[in-house]
Amino acid sequence: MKLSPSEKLLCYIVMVAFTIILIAPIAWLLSSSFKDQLGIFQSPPVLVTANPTLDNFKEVLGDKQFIAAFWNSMIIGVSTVIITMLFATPAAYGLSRMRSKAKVGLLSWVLLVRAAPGMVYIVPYFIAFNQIGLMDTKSGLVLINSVFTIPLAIWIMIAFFDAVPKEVEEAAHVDGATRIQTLLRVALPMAAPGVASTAILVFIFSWNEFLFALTMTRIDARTAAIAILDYMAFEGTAWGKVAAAGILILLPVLIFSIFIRKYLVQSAAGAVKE
Amino acid sequence: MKNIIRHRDSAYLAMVAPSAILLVIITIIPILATFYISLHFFNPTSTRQFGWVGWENYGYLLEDSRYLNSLRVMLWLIVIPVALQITLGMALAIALKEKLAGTSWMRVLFLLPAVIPPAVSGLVWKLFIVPGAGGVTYMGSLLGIDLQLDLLSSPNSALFVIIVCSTWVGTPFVALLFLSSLETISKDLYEAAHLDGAGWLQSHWSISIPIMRPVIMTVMVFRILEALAIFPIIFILTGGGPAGSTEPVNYYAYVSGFQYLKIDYAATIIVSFFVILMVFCAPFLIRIARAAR
Amino acid sequence: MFKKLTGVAVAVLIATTGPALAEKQFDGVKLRVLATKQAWSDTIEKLAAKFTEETGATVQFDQFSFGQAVQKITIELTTKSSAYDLVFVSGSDVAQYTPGGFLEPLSAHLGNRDIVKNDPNLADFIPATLRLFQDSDGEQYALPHFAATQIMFYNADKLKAAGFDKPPATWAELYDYCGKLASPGNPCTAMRGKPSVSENMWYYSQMMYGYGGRFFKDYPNDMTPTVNSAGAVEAAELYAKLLNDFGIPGSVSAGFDEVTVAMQQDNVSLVVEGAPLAGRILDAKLSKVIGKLGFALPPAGPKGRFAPFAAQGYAINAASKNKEAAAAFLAWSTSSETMKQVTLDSSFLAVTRKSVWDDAEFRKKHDYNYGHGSFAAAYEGTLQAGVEWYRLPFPEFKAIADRVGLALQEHVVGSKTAQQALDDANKDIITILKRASRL
Repeated sequence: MKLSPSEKLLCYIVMVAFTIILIAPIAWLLSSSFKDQLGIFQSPPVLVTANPTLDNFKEVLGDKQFIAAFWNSMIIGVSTVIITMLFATPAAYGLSRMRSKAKVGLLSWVLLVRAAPGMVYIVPYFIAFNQIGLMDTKSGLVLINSVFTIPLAIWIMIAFFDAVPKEVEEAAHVDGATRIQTLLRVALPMAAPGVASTAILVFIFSWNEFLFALTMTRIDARTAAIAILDYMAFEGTAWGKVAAAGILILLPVLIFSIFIRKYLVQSAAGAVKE
Repeated sequence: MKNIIRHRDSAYLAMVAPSAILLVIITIIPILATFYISLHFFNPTSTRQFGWVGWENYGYLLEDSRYLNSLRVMLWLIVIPVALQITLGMALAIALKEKLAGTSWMRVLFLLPAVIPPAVSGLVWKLFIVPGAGGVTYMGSLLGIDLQLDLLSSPNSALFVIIVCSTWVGTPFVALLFLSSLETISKDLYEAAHLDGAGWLQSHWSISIPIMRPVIMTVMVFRILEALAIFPIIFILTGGGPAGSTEPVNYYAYVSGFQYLKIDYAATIIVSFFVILMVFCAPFLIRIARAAR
Repeated sequence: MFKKLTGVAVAVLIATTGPALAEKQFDGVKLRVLATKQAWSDTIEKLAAKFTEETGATVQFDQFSFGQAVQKITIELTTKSSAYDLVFVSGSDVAQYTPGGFLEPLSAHLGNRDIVKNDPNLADFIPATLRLFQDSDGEQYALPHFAATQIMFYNADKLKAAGFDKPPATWAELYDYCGKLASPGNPCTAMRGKPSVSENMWYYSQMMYGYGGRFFKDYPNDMTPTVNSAGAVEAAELYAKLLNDFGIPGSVSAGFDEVTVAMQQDNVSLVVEGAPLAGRILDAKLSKVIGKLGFALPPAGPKGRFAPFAAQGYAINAASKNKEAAAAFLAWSTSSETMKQVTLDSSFLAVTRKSVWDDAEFRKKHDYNYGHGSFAAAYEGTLQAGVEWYRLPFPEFKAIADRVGLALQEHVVGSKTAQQALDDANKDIITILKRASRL
């Protein structure tokens, strides 16, 4: 269907207007990260400062506490991915291949668990973590993240396993392979891109998690998303450092999501198809 | 034959079992524990001991003006952002679908807000609206207006900022989801409509939207769930203020539990929150699960 | 001969340093402190190397913003976690923790010369600052390093230009002054609007008292809350008018930081703010008001002047595994010598020891006399005028004051009248008290 010029114009207006709204705040963050304190409170403010400086980045990168928190985020993210994939991959495959009535029940339950906001779990976890010494530990945060990432990963990967043709698997069965072997040698390689993008999605989730990282840590296991709050609290907000730290925190997820952009929507779309 | 299927399923069930057992331990038990706590007095700063109080906490809930206010705020923060995300997302998807020259990079860009850490989204907007130093003042100065609005200082504008931020986070991804669904609709349908004399927008109204209704419903349910979980953005932008104007139920639970150590009351708020959530969302979720079979 | 002498010298050296090297009192102990980000904690952390040298114990400060720190401290103490040995406490917090036994009683440790080598000389502390950290039996639970009150900082040049040769003495006068001092784009004052016991309530309570309001009918005998009395409502109305008509942008959610920066950057004419913040307001590197300020007592209400008073200190976590080393560190860090050193090394000046107040070097550094009177003198004067019961010492007070703080904000943003907001607060306070079996 061909669009008339005025219809095309309408499309452009909608997209350009929204794109500006989308970019403006992020551009401002980027711009502020290169400003010194004077540049930030210059009146009227400017987008490109006359005296760009890397001091904010230098200071943030030189801040031991922030760097430690950044590594914590990395370690917690990678561990969450490993644990989650170990549990979720066979579960997703099993659910994808199941035919009995139990399947709907299990699926609904997985979905409900995935749906519940973190706040629902906070009180008992808080008490339990104090009792069993998981407070302020990376393993504690990995465990909590798994509450959300396992159902998420199962749900997404079912769609990817559904797409693997059954005939190939039947052949493997005939050759005497067990279910696990079929999963590892046949289904997994064929669903590999989807599984990998799910793993990245799990990492992003863990990287972005805020509520539990805030309440279940002191200093030792603190993640980057929490450490950034330090720059907001003392002697007036140090906006330059906040901006620089913000850029550093969103860089890893940005890079990852560009890698998996094709699968990102596909996997989410898989989750919403009806 | 039936036996064979059962047998096959049991093998698959064994693969699901580890996750299922783990999830029971890390989700069902905590939820039951929360309910148990809500029926007790539990405030470690108080001289009063931990003890059974029955439904007393729920009684306080109904008289608590701050709780009732937080319900109202929660409703605002669900209805408006989700409605905006769905309508704007649909408009953008329809525009993006045409693959007009110079717009393909927007598809990549649209992923951005969805993957940015919510805490950073909050910071991004907080910085953007700082009176005098923010992007809003800058944009005002481009138009020759001295915009020194202190948006976080009054209840309505603070709520407005939260709504804008939450819409900003969700809309692009909703657009991409709608787009991927739009692209599966057969061209023939549009051609047929065109032959019948329907215009471009008209055909989307009469073809795309009816076909996509289930997808829209599903996206809506997921967006409502996201809106319920909103926490970091509020924590960073307003801390629930001013005067409780941006404090939804889950934020009030956090304040009760972690600022005042009213663990029992926090648990009570959370149970009420969970019940509301389940009553409204569970039927949809079960339908979605059934359809995914 | 020479050889012999060096030999003796070496022998003496070994004799004096040898045993100390081999075995210091708290070798291997790692003390961990949960602190707020403040000049005090920053400086003490640096000075702590000396304590480590003397005793062998190392000290780590985990510093959080004030609100986050207070929240974490409550959680650490009440969950009986042993992660921290020492925690920051405000005088008004003690009542919240002592009934549950969350804080370690100090007197036995402080009196034990095997643990605390030098007599901590408690008589040297400003008595009221010590009393805030005692329970009803007089047991000590923390040693204060920080004595807080509010004074008026005013820009004498600006006042003069508006025709005032002395600062306002009452709240009503302050409001009238602001009418002349403020112009569009130039707010008259900055004040804390963030709803909390330690932010807007720290400011408002003195107004409430000054207008005859009280938290309770007759504390501690009759705990009927009276935060909605006529005097309290009048004070709340004036507070809101002052903030809305003459406050800096963002006053509604401002904390002490915003107020400090506004005064420091010469954006306002006068503030009533924590005297300890003078060190930052007049920071040699950042301040734009050096040489311009005068200092005075905070304004009075029709029923008198009630200068805020509070103290901050560090307490030992009852669950700590290193109580003795913690006690030694606490005594060392609040000793006269250390306290003086901190004030000389930083902008910190809220000292709690009389000997430091009388110290010539301290006076010289923090006198800030620009021809409108000495700061140190004004500060010391307000400390005398400070009301010891400014915050009331019982566990639920914090929640109650926070609730009033919220009501105040509700009125400031215009969602309720002062009467309505305080009526609602009064009702909720009754619930809080009933739940705690106090009504």
